[in-house]
Amino acid sequence: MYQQRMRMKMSGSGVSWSMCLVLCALATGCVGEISQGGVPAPTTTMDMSPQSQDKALDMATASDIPGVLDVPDMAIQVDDMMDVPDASMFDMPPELHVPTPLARATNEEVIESVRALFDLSQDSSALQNARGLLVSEANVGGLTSNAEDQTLTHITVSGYWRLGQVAMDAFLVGVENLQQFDTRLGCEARKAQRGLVVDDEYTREMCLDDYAQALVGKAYRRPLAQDELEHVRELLEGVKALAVQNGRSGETLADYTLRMQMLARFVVLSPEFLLFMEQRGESQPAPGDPAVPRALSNDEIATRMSYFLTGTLPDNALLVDARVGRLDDPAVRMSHAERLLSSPQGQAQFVSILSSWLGVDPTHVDAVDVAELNVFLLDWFVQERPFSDLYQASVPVQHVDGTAPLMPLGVLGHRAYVGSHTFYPTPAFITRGVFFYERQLCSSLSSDVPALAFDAGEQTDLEVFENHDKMACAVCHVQFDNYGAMFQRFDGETSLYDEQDDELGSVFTLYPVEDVGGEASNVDELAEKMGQGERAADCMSQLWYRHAMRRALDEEGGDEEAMARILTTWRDGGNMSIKALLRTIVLSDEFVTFYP
Amino acid sequence: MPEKPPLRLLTIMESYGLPQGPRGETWIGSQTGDYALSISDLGTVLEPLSAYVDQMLVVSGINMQSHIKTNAGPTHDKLTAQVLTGSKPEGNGGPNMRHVHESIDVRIGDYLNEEYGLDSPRVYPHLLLSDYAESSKATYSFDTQGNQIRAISTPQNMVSSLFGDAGDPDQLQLDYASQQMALELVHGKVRQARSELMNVNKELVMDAYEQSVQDLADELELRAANICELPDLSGVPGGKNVNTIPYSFDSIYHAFACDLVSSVTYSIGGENINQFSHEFLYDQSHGDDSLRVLLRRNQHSASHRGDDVANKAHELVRRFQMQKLAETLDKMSATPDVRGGSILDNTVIFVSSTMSHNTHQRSNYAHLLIAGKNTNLRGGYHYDCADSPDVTQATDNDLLTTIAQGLTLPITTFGGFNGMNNVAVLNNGPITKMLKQEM
Repeated sequence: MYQQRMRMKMSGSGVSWSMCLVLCALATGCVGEISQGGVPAPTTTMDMSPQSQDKALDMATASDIPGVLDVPDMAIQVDDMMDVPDASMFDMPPELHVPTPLARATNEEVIESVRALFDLSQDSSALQNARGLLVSEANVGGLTSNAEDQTLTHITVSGYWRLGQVAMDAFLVGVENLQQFDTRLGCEARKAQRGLVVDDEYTREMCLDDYAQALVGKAYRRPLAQDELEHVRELLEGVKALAVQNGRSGETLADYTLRMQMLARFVVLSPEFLLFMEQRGESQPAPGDPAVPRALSNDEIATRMSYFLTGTLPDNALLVDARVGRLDDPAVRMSHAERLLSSPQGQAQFVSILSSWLGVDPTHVDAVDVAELNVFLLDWFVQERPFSDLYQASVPVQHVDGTAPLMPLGVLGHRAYVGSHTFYPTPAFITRGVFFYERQLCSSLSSDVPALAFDAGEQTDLEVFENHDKMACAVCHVQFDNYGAMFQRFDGETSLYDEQDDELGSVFTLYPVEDVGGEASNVDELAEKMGQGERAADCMSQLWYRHAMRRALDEEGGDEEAMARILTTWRDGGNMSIKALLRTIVLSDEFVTFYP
Repeated sequence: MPEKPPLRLLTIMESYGLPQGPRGETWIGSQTGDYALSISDLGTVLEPLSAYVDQMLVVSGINMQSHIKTNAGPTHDKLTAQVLTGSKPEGNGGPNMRHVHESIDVRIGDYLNEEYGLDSPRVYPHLLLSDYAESSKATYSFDTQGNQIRAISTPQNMVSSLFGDAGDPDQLQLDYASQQMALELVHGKVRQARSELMNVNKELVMDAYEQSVQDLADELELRAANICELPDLSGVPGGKNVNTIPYSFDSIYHAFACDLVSSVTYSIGGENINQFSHEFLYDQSHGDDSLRVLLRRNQHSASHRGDDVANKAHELVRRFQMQKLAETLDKMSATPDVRGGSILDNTVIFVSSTMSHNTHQRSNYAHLLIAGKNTNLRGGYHYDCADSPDVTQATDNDLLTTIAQGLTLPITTFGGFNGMNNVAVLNNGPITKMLKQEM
């Protein structure tokens, strides 16, 4: 039988909602000042002196050295920071803690991290082609970051392994002699960074060693231990020795290139690069002891923030503050969050996740339509428009009669969205309905579909659809069919498939999902229910919280209180922009806590 | 004692099957009774394979009993997950699905690679290849822990992943030795990290990590001993929705010719759903423009219609696939194998589908096997496996068992591990009439 799976109470009924508010108010600082005025974005700037940054970063900082951290202009004015409550450990019974999973970077995150690691451009064709090396990954509810679904296999590992070499080859493209090799590695700048002058000896081997250390440190997102430095040297020297054993000098460009390729393969396949390893080496709870939540280190916070907000390695500004322990301060985190959300990477990451969540399939719809939807999403994000605009902003809607009137449908009126859920002709009723019900209302259908002895016989698909409510199929189809049917009619007169529309009824009853449901006759009315109700916003917050935690939500209640608190803060903050939601998550205690 | 032939399995999975009504014209003249095949029995879809009629086993009357009796629900992802496992999957739909055992293609691949007596294991026991990746759907193949295996998608990635680099053999040997050195360092880091983490899932993650790195090291060792000729992909058209089926077949052929793999599962047209435009199959003689429109779209549309135009679209698409298979068989039959004979002599090709026919049906699949002469299957016949007064209808589990025995894997049941007594209910043993010798 189809059954409603248990839904999280926090996303629904008034009783549990009230309870959440009470619990939230009791939790230290969980609403407090933030809820009174939202979380304003810092706007003033203060230069951090190069000296202080050098001191903070125990590694190279010359911005023109490939593979080495560069220091962008900082935009942090600590003194003028808004009043943000102190971070406090979330006080919750241990049995309700949801353990932090060991997660792996998604394919897109790996690609973007490799791009940053090897200073490859956005239009690097090598990296674009290399996406195909990575085996397709499970997409659960629009996200590919759920740790539980990231099975690692031989083939997946082979893909990373080859990606390392592809990236290094792209980094070295155009290098035709050893002088160019030195230049590409930034040897002169590295020499200066060591405090050496022109006459001091600085060999190619020393430069390679410096480059390798900087590269590995950047990949690991933390300072390297001494034994790790030694391992890197052993690899570089070992590959050189192999070349010599094979009758080569070990000093040619081909020899250096081989060493660089092996370095790159090693780095990209290292667990420190691919996995989000937190609280590593810390004392582990003894068997039977309660699992006490632990505060993340500053380097770990930097990594979480960077991958959550931009999907790539932390930049230098984040690392600078991490190394001096400033990321414990919510105000500093807030400032960085604002900066990252405004960055091109942050914007691209946002559009990418939303597009995936909406099920946009570029292979099924025109690129122009996808681009239009992306512009809409980006505008909604950048301009901090209210959540309701996602479903109710006026957009031009293409009708079959060739007109494109402005209609208040938000994403529901975009051809890229509708077209991605269209399997011509009739199954669109069902496929759209199921998608909408599960994805945009965060409502779940049981996997136990009844095995009915169903045979369509001579019925047309439309007849099958109309007969759903007369057959045993109704037990599940009643939940989603009518949501899908809304898209057959964009207004009272024009439909997507007008030859079928005439045969449909005029009013449908939507299966109730919290405050969405009831009668509707076209997609305008569905959009209004989504934009004005609380359910759709709750669902959106679940999406981003899942992404932040890199795991499915705990249906037994472990996430209930945290989600309620985040929702309250978001709602009380003003216009409920998506940026406000992301800021709220970054400021939450859960975001900076590891649960064993 | 003569050496064993180096057997292989190629499983070609299509999503939508073939409409029942016109099968007499499109598939096989009669689906009733067992009889020796002749070219005149072959319908329009099978006609391109005429040269291989003596090696063909056309199997009618198989229902997916493992699916029907385990009450699994005929969604795309569940049917896909079940067709090569003969078991109801666990967990929610799509990517969350798991099984308690592997799929038959993996089981056979492991057997042929490790237990069959080859001089050395092939680089890959099993590969899942696809023309197109659709990540949100389930998969055909499951590993020995019952986890989903994801496909290597697109011919370009197949070539890159399977064949690696070309070049001077001495340079490649140095490269492989260097890779082993780097990989050993990775291995050490994985082992070290395991002991220093406290995530609840760390054992699962790090076990898979360590095993995968070890598998890669093994692969490199084998590659160093077996440097292959690369397929030529220079003609692959660019852009979206291009039909890459010929190039995927060519990659598979080269993987066999280089003896890289024991079992290949090929999701023809795309992972779980046929994504390509087949508009190029339309010509004016077909007349009906709605056929052209339907061919342009993915085949899900036609699958749900069941009218004459949709049936024609299915016929044309399936015929095209068989044409490309026939071209591949031509090359396999002309290529010597490592122990003599041709590659085709040592290969079983299993052509099947997720659904039997339109609108998610699961009855009377249009199954085709092509059996090389060194395999244990009796080619050249139509086999009627439907209920009869004398014989209980064979199940899909029985067919999977038969394919396994056709490649000398000595099992008598396969699948049906979910639910009470399903192993016994779903398994009647191999379909002996299809075998030269029961194992």
